Amino acid sequence: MVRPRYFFSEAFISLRRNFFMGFTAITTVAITLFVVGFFTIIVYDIQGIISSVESEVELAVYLEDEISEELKDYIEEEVLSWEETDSVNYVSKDQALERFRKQNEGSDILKEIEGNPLPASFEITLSSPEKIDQVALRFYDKDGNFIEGVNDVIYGKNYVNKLFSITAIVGTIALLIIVVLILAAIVLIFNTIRLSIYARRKEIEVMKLVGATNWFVRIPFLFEGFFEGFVGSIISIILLYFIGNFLLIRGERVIVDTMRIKELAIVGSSNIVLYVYIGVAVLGGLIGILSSAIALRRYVKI
Amino acid sequence: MNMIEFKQVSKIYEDKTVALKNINLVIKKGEFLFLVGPSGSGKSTFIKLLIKEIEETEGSIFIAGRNICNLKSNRIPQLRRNIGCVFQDFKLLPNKTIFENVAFTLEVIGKPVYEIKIQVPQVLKLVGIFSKINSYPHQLSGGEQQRVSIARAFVNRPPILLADEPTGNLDPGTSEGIMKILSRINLIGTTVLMATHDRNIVNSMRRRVVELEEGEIIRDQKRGVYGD
Repeated sequence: MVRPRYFFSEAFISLRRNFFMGFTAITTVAITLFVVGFFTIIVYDIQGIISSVESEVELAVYLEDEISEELKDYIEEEVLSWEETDSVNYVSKDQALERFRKQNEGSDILKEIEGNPLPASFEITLSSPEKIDQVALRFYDKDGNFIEGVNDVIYGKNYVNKLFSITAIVGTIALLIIVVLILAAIVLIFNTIRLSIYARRKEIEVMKLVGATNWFVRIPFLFEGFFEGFVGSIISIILLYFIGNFLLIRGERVIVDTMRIKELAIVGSSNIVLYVYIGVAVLGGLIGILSSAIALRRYVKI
Repeated sequence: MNMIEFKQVSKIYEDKTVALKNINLVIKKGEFLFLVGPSGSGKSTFIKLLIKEIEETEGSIFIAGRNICNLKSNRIPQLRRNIGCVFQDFKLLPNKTIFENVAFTLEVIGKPVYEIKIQVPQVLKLVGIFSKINSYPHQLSGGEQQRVSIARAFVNRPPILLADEPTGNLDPGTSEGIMKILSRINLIGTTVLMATHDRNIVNSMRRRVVELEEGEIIRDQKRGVYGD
């Protein structure tokens, strides 16, 4: 007794009848799922950055401009003698400027640079990244000042910790927004289904009277809810594809630039995006079916 | 064969109203029975119990020998397919034509289209409303609408037809026509149970009369009249 055409047409008649309500519900689902998808990708992305940063933990030791050649060589030899050291790379002031030029090609900032404000540095990679705190401490004296010739020590751990806390904050806020939005979407679809049920209460009464099975009565409404959820999710996928990707790539560039990370898996090409799209579509359908199921339980006593 | 049997059936609503008290009644296959009594005497409760729209508080109800009291909710549709129902307010769907209204019963229970196309005109002829097959309910008179409603209840050829005040909204002349149709349906072998307080109809038909008063059967007469 499968009648897909009947269920389809009944669902669409209802959708037409409550166009405005349905439209509102679909929009809400679209926005909700867009936020869900967007934050999922962001959180995943930040985690990706964290792990790529962690895997190439690097210590940058910035040198004073006036440092003598002897002192520079001494520091280099000293660093090389530590067992935690994997490699040491000297970046001169000129190389630093060259690198900066390349990173900011075409940007207005280059015009504002006079002379060379960038310091020379040692870039130290470690064979055991977890010891980075200890190693960094060796560039400080007993009073907590930098040792002679050293201007600053910067290492990934700071970024990593910062990133972890950012991820946690972003994640929590996102979760709160998502929960509220999902509830709103459920309430709105619930309302459209309630209206459809109300509009068709006579039909439902007659159906039950002449012996329609419970599923026969329910299916058109479940279909309608599913349709609203699903269309909403499709719209959100389109939004994610255009707006979401654009924002994320921008954001990534900022992170890449400020953190001087050499390479980063660009979001657009990653599998995660596909999974998010699929997840969003499934979630949309589920929200729709769930909402109409609740409405049916409440308003259609079978 | 007993078509409908009530054994010590009582119905007390949630607000403690006693609608039916210890009802014992047997209705044989092919019988035509009037259920009479003033408003609130329990006639509608009686009918609602038969289609399991409500649950009895005590006792057992048998239809065609089967106890319907502990019927699972997913078996109720099957029960209702064997009981046609006609109401005072017709319950026709205003946005469907007469054909569609009657076809609805068959669609809902999954009959194939070709069968629907044969059965609907047949039953519309039986109730004498075939000429209005493509009209909408609002274009029909009350009597005509009730004929459609009977056609819808009977198109599936159920062994039992329940009618709750089917002539309640109709004038005497029109009511007579409706009664003729119900008699015809009864003659084919259908058990007909009609709740009414239309004195003239009961008196003119001379069928079995069961009278309810405050939820109790106070009279059960073969070939009876409405009473005093």
